Amino acid sequence: MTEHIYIIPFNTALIDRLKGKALVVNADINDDPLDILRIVERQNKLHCIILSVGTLSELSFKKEWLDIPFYINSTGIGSFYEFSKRISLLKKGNIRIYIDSSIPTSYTDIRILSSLGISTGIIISDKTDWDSLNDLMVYSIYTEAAHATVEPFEYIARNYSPEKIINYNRVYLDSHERYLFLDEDMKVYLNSDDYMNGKSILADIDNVISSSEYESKTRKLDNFFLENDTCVYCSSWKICAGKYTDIKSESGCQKFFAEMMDAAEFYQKKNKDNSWQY
Amino acid sequence: MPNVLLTQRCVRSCPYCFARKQMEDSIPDDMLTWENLIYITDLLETSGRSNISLLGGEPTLHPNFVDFVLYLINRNFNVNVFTSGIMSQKKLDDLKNAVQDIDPGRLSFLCNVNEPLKSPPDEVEKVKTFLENFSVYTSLGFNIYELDFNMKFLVHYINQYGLRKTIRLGLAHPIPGMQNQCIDINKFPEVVTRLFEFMPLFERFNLQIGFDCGFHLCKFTNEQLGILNKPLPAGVKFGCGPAVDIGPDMTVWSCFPLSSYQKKSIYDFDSFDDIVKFYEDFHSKVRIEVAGVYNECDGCRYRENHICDGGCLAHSLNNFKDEYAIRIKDVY
Repeated sequence: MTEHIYIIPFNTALIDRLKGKALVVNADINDDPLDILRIVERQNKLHCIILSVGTLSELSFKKEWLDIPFYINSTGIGSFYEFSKRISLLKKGNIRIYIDSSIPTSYTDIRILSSLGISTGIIISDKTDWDSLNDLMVYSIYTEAAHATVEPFEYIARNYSPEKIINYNRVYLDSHERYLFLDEDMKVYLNSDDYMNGKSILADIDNVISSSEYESKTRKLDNFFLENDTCVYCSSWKICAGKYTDIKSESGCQKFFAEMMDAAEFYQKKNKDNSWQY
Repeated sequence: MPNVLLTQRCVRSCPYCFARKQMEDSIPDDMLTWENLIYITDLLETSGRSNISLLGGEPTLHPNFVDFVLYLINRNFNVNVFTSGIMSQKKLDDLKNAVQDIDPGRLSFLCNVNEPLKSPPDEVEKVKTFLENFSVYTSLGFNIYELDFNMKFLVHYINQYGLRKTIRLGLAHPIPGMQNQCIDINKFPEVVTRLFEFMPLFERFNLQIGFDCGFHLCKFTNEQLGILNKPLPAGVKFGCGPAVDIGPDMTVWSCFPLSSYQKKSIYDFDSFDDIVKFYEDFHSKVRIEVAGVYNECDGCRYRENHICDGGCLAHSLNNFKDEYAIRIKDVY
């Protein structure tokens, strides 16, 4: 099993205690990414820096940051004129920009960013407009013109298999099998919701996998199909893994994920057809 | 170069407007969306095109006009904007700020102007403000729709504001089935005579004339052709072919005068080349029915050698609109 990657606040003492680990640093807007890189790389490996900004037009992305991997949470493009001054730099950066689907302009903004060659992701929330999400997915997977990847569509399309469940929460750095959240007291949280709500597990960092909470999260799906729930009858459950079970009755999630499966098959067939060339 | 309509709304009501039919058939508040702009840009890019024209209506009326220009420049397109130059002070300021770092080789404005004495004074002032602010990006366009036209003001504008030294001359063409002001085909020789009254002035100020579609080679004397071709090694064109206009609702058509013929959806085509070929085929089919606007076009060696296309196809189609339908259905 691969080692976990730890998502932590920017704290030098905490970083020193995690010697040899791969780290994701949740940075404050006032933290200097070059400082973070320098401190982490003394004894650890920097997986990426999470930066939460308002609009991209307010983000003053610097040339010196080009080699630093960034996971950027944003509310959208903002003023296109201001944003346009940063496009060439953002295109060269090692970044992915995430926007929450509850923001009505997210679908358009992500399409603009992708078409400009900037890697993006949409955070699929409870307030998703599934038709708009579907249009964005179709753009992401089927468009022949050069464009940057849009997550989680790219991840799903690449990893989809009829034989297994795929956990696309990985693209949000929010999958307990790969990422664990730590606070400044080294308390462990299995996902971002638990971290936000202060629900740490009892085990310490060295005993996470054998903890009952970890076991329970991992086996969550085992009992899922014993319930008489419409998700059980949905053909797309291998992609969504029942994430939207609370909202599905009035939403279009089933239709979307069915289309996503078709797109994934198209994507894999296309890449398979081309595979002899490489 | 494909023409993308950002909006159907316009700030002027020119008597010759050959977009009127298209405007009347469309939803006036229809605006090109970001999604559709990206689709069009992708289609052009995968078809190997790197030039795009933005027009309307008045394209600057689109609320995202400035953003669209910046986007297209960042997609490595060369952008040409057809504008009246009439816009609010805020739009003008926004545009000026946005384009100040753009190479004039990547962005150009074709400002279509009418004679100042025949235009409302406030419009004339706005046009002058535009020309003053965007001089290095701007060349002038002028549509001839009556016989006593005057082009001295064009020279004055170019010199006063330091504009590009080219003038694009258009002929107002009929819209089949509509009443717009245009030049009768039998009056073309008078247009040419009038045009050449201004040629010494154009020569003196080293201005180049370019013809929009629909001029006829045979109405110029050899001497006049010599004068026209002297500064242009590639020669003056006497063409009429599909411009390919794309509406905000993603319909496509050959050009404004032919907007009610063979209108299609952009989604019916796999590439921009397919769209061009479709409308070239349409033009060819109609040319079989009628070679050009004059009877002499049939058998003309200049037409057969593609030096002159025989004038605007809309003139020819206009002849069929009231006849009994005995020709190929495409012409009706």
